Amino acid sequence: MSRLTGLTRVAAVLLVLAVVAAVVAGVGAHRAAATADARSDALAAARKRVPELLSYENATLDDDLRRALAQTTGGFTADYGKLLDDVVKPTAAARRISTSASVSAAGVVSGGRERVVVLLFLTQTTVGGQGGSSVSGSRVEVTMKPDGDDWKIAGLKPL
Amino acid sequence: MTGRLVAGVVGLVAVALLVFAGQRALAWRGDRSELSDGRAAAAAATAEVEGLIDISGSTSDADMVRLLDGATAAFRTDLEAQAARLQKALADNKVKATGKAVSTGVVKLADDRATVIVAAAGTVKNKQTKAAEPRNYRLRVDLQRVKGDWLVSGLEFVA
Repeated sequence: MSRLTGLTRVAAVLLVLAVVAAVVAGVGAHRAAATADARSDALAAARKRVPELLSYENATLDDDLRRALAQTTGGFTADYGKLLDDVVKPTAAARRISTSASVSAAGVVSGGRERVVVLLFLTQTTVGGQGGSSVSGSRVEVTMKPDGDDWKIAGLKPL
Repeated sequence: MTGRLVAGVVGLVAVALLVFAGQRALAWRGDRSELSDGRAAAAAATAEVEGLIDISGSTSDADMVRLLDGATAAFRTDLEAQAARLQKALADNKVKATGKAVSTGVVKLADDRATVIVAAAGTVKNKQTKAAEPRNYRLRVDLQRVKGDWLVSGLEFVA
């Protein structure tokens, strides 16, 4: 009987160790996978949202700027909204400007589940009221943060 | 008998948990090494880009060798073919170019291949210019891991 009790005890100790190992590895793997997912989700969201943020047609200026603002989250929404109202909207309306941004390349700089920084190379085509158009290339770093099930733009820094 | 049965069942559960823990630990390690691979590839791309844009007629042979050492065999052959002509052109035109990477993003990473984009800023002065002119660079760098080192296999300017 004492031999069996000893065997049961060994099995119990082994079980406790196995549970600890399974929990540690399970949680670690889950977090690491979540970090990898966060980075690829944020990158995809940045590729989609940054052109929306930086493009508008003069004919549909109000709708387009509303849509631009819908790409943002957190404190950046108020900052960008102010910039749109104070600078972009009056200038675009007065000079009848339309502009469209496209992503030439994008990659993940850093980040994890709470925040991801993405580097984008943008090509911006701008058309003015006089009909002249200009194309310019730029580099920006955007900070993406989770918003509900999605990732939105929480900051933008031209380089 | 019951004691032995209990011990057996507990032992089996423990083994199953250990197998699960092992599998999760491997997944964890995979995701973690992806992060560190990305960092290593980005660092290698940065070093090679800075070697190319921070260059002058007085760039030493040692610097050229360092540049060549950061390239895969195929890309090294391309660079070597142009190195002598490049050094002569730099010297003839009294070119003095400086530059630093300002941001680096990982576009994709799969096993032993990576694509990284690098935003860099610098200045270029030659015998025609009075003062150093600012330059912004946008580069896409392809890398391959060769014997543990990330080497540049291709490099292009993003228009």
